[in-house]
Amino acid sequence: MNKFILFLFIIFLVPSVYGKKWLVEPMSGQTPIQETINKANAFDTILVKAGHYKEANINIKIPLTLIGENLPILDGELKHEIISILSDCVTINGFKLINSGFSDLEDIAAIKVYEKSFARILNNVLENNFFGIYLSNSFYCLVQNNQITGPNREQNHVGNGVHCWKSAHNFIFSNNIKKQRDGIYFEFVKHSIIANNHSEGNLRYGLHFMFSDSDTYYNNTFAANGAGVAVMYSQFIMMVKNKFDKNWGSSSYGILLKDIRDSKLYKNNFDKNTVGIFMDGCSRADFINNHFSNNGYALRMQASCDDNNFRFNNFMTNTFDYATNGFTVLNTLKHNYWDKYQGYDLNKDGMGDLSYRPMNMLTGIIEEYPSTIILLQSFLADLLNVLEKILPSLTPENLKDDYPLMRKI
Amino acid sequence: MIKITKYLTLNILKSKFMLVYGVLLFVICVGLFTLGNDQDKAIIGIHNTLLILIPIVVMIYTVSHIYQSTDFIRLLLTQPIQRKYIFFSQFLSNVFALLLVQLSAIGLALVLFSDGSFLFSIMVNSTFLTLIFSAISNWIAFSIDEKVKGIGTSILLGIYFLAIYDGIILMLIQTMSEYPIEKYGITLSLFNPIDLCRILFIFKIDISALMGLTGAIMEKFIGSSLGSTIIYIVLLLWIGFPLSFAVKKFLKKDY
Repeated sequence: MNKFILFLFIIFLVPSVYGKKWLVEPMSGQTPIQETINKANAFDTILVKAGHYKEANINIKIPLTLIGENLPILDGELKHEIISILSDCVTINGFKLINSGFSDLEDIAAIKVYEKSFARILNNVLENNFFGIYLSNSFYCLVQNNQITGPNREQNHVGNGVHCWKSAHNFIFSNNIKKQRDGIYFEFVKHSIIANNHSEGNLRYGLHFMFSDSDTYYNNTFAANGAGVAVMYSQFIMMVKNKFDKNWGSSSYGILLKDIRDSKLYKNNFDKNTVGIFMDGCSRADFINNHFSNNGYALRMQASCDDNNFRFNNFMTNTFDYATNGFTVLNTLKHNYWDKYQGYDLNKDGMGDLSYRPMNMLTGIIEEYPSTIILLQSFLADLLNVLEKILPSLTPENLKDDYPLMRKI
Repeated sequence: MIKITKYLTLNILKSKFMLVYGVLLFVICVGLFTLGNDQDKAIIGIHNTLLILIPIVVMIYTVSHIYQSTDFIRLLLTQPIQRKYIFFSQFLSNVFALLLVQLSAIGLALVLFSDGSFLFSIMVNSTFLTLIFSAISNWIAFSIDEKVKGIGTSILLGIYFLAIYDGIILMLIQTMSEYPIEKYGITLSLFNPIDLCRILFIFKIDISALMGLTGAIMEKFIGSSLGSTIIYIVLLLWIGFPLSFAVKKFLKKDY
């Protein structure tokens, strides 16, 4: 926390005290912005008037603040990277960046930070770029309030909205990302906070991270992305109050957790996903007070998961609440609310007296013989489910919630 | 023929059973809409209820109605009317009355409580089911003279289509699970009109994404114009065959 306060202190106070102001207008030269940057001293402020500037690539090699007035357009003409940040403490505020180049060899971005720190990228509009904002080996950067919309191209020719590689302590706040390949992509990014973002309609994943430990995701919305959200090979992840909506399709997941350890998912909302949470090889994660509604499968947990803890979650109107592919159960389900629970509560302690089995017989049969899915919604399936309730045989014996709640939380 | 159909239809509509049936359907639909807060789930529930209710009710009602009106049919046969006209007016009046009651009850509930997006497909499915099971029960009723036996057969057949056939599918899939049988699921369901209607509906409401490889293969088939044409032709065959058998039986029947 001290570091964060120090960081804020630096970026808010220092430039305003020492800087000189420069004004750039569209007609004042061949490459007016780059010329002004070359003339400026460190910690100056450059104010850019509205207009259409075709002078990519803009290199910023000293700490500067660039402020756009009424969204001046910086055009990459589908050839160049638009802004390259090659210095610490650079601020880019209020520009409209369009048409970056795209390449199969390089990751060309609208704004790319090259191994520098303390960059601030605020209030920009990015349209039709390859990559949106690219942080490589950067620390303490702030990416806030950007509207990022990808091009209408096929997946191989579209980059990620916010792409971070080998970075730490970054802040990604309140961005709106659409039509990119991955909305937010992290690889080897640690100790970062991702909050209030809206990632919708991306071609692949709304959020995709690998090998990124100790990150916090708060209050983000990931909706209608091609394959939902996929997170892999990370530990100490914190996900709070995120929304995973309408990720619907044959290979789409609300969230796919692969090899995630020691993580916490609190108060997330999973609505209308084919699979709410798909888990493979996850250990020691806590799932508390999440809300699952209208999903195909609420939870799909491979038998390779262990020591996960599900408490105080709401499971409502899902086609299947729970599916697993093995008979050993190493996870704990306790005190959840299941709308399909039909037991009673004689001593009025709010918990049902009979345990609830979240995996019904049809789910068990489907796991074993996938073709039987054609019996979905049939009368026979209902009959079998009733039978299984009385005599469990095809579903794991220990898979049950012994204290199901009578009311939802 | 039109005259006889008209009077028979009016006669059936006057019965208390029809009123009770209509009200029951309407109450079930409304109940499902008001109990759950999600419209799609309610519509799936309504469709499932219809898949169970329509075959059983239509079969039992039609069979017992035919046995009840044996005397009336005998009376008609004394008149100078061709036998096939008597048969078809009897069949059509029964179907008209049932469809009128069902469709108005379901339609009213769907229009009042949903945005009406699934109205058409539910209507089509229930129309098909009514026609198919009415034809089958005509066949049963004109083949078997004994009332109890006839009703028993129709109940048994209803249960067969509802549950036993699916059980056979389940067993087949279980025994053949070593082979790539994904493609044949749809072929199996062609032999059961209830399954066919259910699967058609599942693909309308977009839960096909749950169905994995089987679903993908079936979606390819049902989504193609050839596939859907085949399915509707098969449904029509399910009406045509029992009906033609029933006509044959009725024409040769010794009253």
